[in-house]
Amino acid sequence: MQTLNILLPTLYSLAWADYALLFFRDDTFAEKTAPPLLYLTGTLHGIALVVLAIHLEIFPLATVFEAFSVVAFSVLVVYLLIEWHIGVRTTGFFIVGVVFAFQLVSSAFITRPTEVNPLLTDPSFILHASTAVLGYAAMAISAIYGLLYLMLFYDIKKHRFGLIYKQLPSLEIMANFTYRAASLGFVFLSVAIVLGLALMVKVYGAHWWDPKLTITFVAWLIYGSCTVGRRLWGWSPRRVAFASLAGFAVVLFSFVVVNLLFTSFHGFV
Amino acid sequence: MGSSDMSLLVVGMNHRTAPIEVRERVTFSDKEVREILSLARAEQTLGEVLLLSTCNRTEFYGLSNDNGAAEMYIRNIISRQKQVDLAAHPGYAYTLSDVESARHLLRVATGLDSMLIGEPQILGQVKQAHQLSLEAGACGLVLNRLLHTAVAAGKRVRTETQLGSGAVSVASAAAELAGKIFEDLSTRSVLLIGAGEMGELTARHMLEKGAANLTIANRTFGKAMELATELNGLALPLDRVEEALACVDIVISSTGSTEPIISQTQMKRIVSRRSGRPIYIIDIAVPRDFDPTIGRLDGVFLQNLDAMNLLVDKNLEERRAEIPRAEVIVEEELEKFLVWRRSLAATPAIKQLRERLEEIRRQEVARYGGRFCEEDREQLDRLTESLMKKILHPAMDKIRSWSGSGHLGSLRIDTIYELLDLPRGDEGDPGRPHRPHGDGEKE
Repeated sequence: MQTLNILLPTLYSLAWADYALLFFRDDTFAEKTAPPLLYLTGTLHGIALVVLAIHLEIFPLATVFEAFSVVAFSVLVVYLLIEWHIGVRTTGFFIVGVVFAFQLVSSAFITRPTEVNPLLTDPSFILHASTAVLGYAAMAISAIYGLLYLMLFYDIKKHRFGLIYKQLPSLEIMANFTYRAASLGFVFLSVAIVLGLALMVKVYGAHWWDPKLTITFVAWLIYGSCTVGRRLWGWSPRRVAFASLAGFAVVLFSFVVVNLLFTSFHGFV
Repeated sequence: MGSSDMSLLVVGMNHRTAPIEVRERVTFSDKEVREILSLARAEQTLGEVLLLSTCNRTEFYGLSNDNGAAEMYIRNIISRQKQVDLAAHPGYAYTLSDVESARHLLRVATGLDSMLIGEPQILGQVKQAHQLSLEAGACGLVLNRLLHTAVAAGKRVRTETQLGSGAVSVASAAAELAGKIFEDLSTRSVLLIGAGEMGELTARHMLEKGAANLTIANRTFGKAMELATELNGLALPLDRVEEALACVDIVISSTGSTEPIISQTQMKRIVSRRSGRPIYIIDIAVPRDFDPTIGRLDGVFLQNLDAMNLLVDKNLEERRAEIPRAEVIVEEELEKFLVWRRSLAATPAIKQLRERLEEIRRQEVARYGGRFCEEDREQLDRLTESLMKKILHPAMDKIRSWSGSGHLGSLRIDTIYELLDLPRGDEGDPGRPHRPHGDGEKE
């Protein structure tokens, strides 16, 4: 376990460095080595999560830091699918950076709680937690592509033809990923919220106001408006990108700040 | 004598040495190239010869025993055929010898020596010149190898560096930028406002990039019709432009209007009808056709001539930054060629040695063959042949490596001649000039 906590962030940092070389220098060595290194790291990460789940006989979502690792892994899997689909590797620098950050925080602070909440073995909880984590991963992807969209958008508008212009794929591609990932995140989060509410009523009885729930609900509303806004209200990709970034900021706030500052019945994540 | 003893040279002129009035006169059609190559081959001043003629460059590559005479010969051809007095203006043409001439061809083929650095057409032109020389029988062992090396270097530079990437003209830069906004141009429609030359060129680049549905709006409708027929598009009267702007994805505008043809208010109206779909407008008109404040609207990417020039400059700068990487490839490929060329000196010795030993083997097999039955004789033949190959193979490698090591190498090769009493005659290259004590070579 200790070895993994060192190995995974190290491998991610190496992959990130490789993608940085690719983005900033068009390095031919990085072009060849970055994807295999990332696939290797991802495989190892996946195996580690499965082994951990089997070993502990519970889903590895007991603490926020375990959840970070699962989010990192989910973002990575989605990114590898995107890279394979569009054949462009230059956005890897941004995504792998975020994956690395999530895994680093997870590995640095991860501890096994002495007492495991029996809820963690409940199948409906597992479904609730998995959909929530997948939702967060989709939102992270959406926000990163949203940010990249905005960077290229303003560079083109202001006639700045630098590194961003040269390396990023087309605005249309990034707008599509921002929108699709946001919609996916919205769907996952909807399922997670419904399951979560049902669980809450079952386990704790009615518990209508809670900071975590409120904030998650705000994020859900934002991603919902991304989906509906683009489709029905004629939102421009720029507005969707801004909304996605705002939504992700709320998610991060919910993840980190609320956990530290407020007491919530939602103790684990 | 063989090509291994001759030295390479190039005599030519390009955009750096000769003014355009001279360059445009000194171009050779394929027919003329064939004639000159046949003539040069018949006159035998040059052992091998290749003529590369493009709009910015005319170069004769040759192999000769006497570079001074060869240079004069080529200069005379140019002066005579194209009525350019190179004697009065010797600086119009340059001459490079040996390694420098080989390096020059590699730099030419990779686009490093081009007026527009990294331009891709030159590689095809080099291949074409090679083909013409081969057809005329003027391309021998050395030039053939040099041309293959040059093409290999050209391909490597294209795949391993960015020397040829990025648009370097306003029209192609506009099309490149379209590819940064839209993923697939084949689903995008283009509106050309004004049927001027620059606009037309930009529209052609968009179509080359795959754009569909070109519509042309022009003050003179007839001209729009004419161009629409040529480019397989539709013609539109100028007063219906606003309507078209609500539908199309890419707009190229280059009218001669002194006032903007689309104001910000008009554009706001148009954008509201587009339901968030982006529109890319290239306004290359001076004075501008679109109110510049339109560029602030969400979903409108307005670019003008200055922006396109900025992009071109940026791309050129990036190409220039790739020069060192391309030069490294040129040097690597050049080194391979030079190693091969040096190994040529050993070829006659190897050939003689192989023939002498084969002769001995045959004689001995014939001499003792009678003592064996037919089946065993075949085995004997095969056995001795295999024995010979095993003995000769490492020896030949060694001799080849000697040939690259200067005077000492030559002495060692001489020793082999002495030791086995090998003949030093010339096997001769048909159609090539001869020299006493020269060495023949075969590939």
